[in-house]
Amino acid sequence: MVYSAILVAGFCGACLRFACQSLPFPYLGGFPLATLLINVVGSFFIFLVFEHAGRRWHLTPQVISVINTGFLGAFTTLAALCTDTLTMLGNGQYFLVALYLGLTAVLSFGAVLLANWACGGLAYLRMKRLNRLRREHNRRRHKDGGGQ
Amino acid sequence: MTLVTYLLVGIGGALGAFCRAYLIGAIERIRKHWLFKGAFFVNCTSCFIAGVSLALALGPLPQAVVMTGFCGGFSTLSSVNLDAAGYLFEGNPRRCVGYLLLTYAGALATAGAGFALTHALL
Repeated sequence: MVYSAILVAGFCGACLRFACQSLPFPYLGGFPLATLLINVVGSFFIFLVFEHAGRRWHLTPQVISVINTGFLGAFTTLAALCTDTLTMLGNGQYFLVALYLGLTAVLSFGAVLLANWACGGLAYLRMKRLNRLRREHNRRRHKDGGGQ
Repeated sequence: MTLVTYLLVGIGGALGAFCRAYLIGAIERIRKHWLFKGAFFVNCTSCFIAGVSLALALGPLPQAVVMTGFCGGFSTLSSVNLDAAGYLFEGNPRRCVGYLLLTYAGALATAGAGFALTHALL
């Protein structure tokens, strides 16, 4: 059942990646901006789903697996990074290769750290909201209790 | 890009994601104390296939299906970053950096090997 869902999620992730790679990005001398952005965005959301969405929405491990392994796993790609690198090396664009690999490594991992920070912020906001609701509830209860 | 292209890329991606999930699950069950996670082996295999198909210089549609679809779905960078972040949050920054460096180096090396081998054989 999970594997069937992973098939469907993988289909969607691959189509979305293909669509993003087909967008008319500005020409940057052969720099694969689309693949870089895809990997960064995918890395951000995989941590967000794993750490926050799973707990907040009480998703089962199977559902998280389908989203992360299926959809986001198919959305991001290491193979395209390698083929882009080989193509640029073949064209003698060594500086672009170094820039591309460096940016991918730093920005995609940085996106995970940013998602971790965002999860902390979202959890803090949720805690503040729950505390406010609790205070309002207690205030209402004391008011009703005082009226009896 | 026609609808048929999207459909074929999607089918390739679905198969790639399925194979990745199945293989990583199988490898993780037998891995125990191995250094490398299942994603490492899967990524290297995918990049080897991508290198081979790049050297074969397939037509635009086969290229899209095999490289963009299957290899793109079979490999993953987000899971690698998630695993590396796990090492970092466990208090193991060296393992985190080592895993990332090894993944990138292994992927590029296997892609290059696939490309060079195919080129040599053709």
